[in-house]
Amino acid sequence: MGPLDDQVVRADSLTATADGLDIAVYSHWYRALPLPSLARVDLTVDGRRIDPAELSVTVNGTRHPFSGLAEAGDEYWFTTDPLVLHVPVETAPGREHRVQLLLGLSIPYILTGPDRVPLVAPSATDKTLTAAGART
Amino acid sequence: MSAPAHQIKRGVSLYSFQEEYFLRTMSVEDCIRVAGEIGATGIELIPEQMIPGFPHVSDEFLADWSAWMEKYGTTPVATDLFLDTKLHPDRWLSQEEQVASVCRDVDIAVRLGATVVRAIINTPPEVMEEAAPYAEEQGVRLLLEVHAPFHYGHPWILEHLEVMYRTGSPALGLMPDMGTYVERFPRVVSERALRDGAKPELVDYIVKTYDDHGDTHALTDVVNYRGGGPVDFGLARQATHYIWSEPKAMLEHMPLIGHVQAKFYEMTLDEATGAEVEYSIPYDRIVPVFVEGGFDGYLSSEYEGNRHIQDAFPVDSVEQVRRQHAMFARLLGETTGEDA
Repeated sequence: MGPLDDQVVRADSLTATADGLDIAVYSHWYRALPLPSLARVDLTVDGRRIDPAELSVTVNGTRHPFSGLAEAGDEYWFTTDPLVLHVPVETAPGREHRVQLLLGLSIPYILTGPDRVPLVAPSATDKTLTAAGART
Repeated sequence: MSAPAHQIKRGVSLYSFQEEYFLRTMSVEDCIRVAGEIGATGIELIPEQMIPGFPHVSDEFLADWSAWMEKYGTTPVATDLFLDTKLHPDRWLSQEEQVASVCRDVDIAVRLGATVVRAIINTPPEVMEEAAPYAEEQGVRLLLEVHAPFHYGHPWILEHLEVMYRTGSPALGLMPDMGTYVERFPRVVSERALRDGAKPELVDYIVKTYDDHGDTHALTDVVNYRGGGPVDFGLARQATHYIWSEPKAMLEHMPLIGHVQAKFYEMTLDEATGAEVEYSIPYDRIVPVFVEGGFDGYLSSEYEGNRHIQDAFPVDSVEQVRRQHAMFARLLGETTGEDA
């Protein structure tokens, strides 16, 4: 975790949509990572812990259930592109939300320990931001 | 000062500008432009880092890439591949899949016009051997990065050398990372540990042990015995990952060396001469080894100091790379006069 964590969720990351809150998230790792690397998304919105099973994720224009990312090894999350977490919480344009996110990126070529477990590179975010309206 | 005749060229890995690229203050084009302005002629790229849509390289990106090379007087030299052996959470990548991954990255290098591919240190020798004919057919050399804490006598490297010498494949070779020649502990790293709350006496102990080229194997244990916390432990662990070895050991394998990752952490001025030097890595004694060995590839800048100073100081990777190239120019005999 480091100063670049500040870039993971940005001032304009929140968007209110018809089915909930979209959170644009940027990678803190220096190379694009295959989608199974999105190993850990501990998300709390306004104090409510969001079960990853409730999340879906849009990367490269395709929406995946969070559990589907593990199967999407041929696709990469690019360094400068956001992925969007679709979070089922009630919101509206202009509403503020506190977003706490511990993002753990599993680095699939840096293996540690006797069990050859991939390094998990974490970043931590705790920001209160205002949701914009969805662009139509 | 004049260096003997040589064919060594100067390059930059755009990885050096990762901080600025990450913060969007420099685009890929900006990275290439400044490399050209610094006098580098060779460009090394991490495709996963800077090609939108990776692993697909679009015609649009390729058109831009070629135009930038022409505009800034640079040439694509090398790409860096990764081998994601733990791509799938539930299983290891098979050898066949590993070879396919390497061949995919060879194709990307070819598309970009690079003739060298950095094979990351975790690439198994048998994968190198199996991928070599394809690389040869494509006109690309697969060079194993010799990265700290590995060295030319290490069993892992010896296994690779066995494959290289037994097959005699022209497509296989070595890419030394100059992080294997850290003679003095990088102060940007120890100073960061202090800012992060490390105990000064333990930092001194770790740095002194390293600088004396003492036994670093049990450093992490000693730090624990002395009541060190996570930051002290991390610094001790870091000390076991840097290595110093004799640069002349490269002479024996020089025909295999096709490219050099010129890792560095901090450029500084030599107190006696005022010349640009690297704080930890004695390039003044390394570059002559490449000259002596007849190396004719690129010294490719790889700045990695940003991560150690970004908490407290503005990062200026361009200035750091510029200063490293001033040093290379001096050591390669390109300049005469004031800083020689």
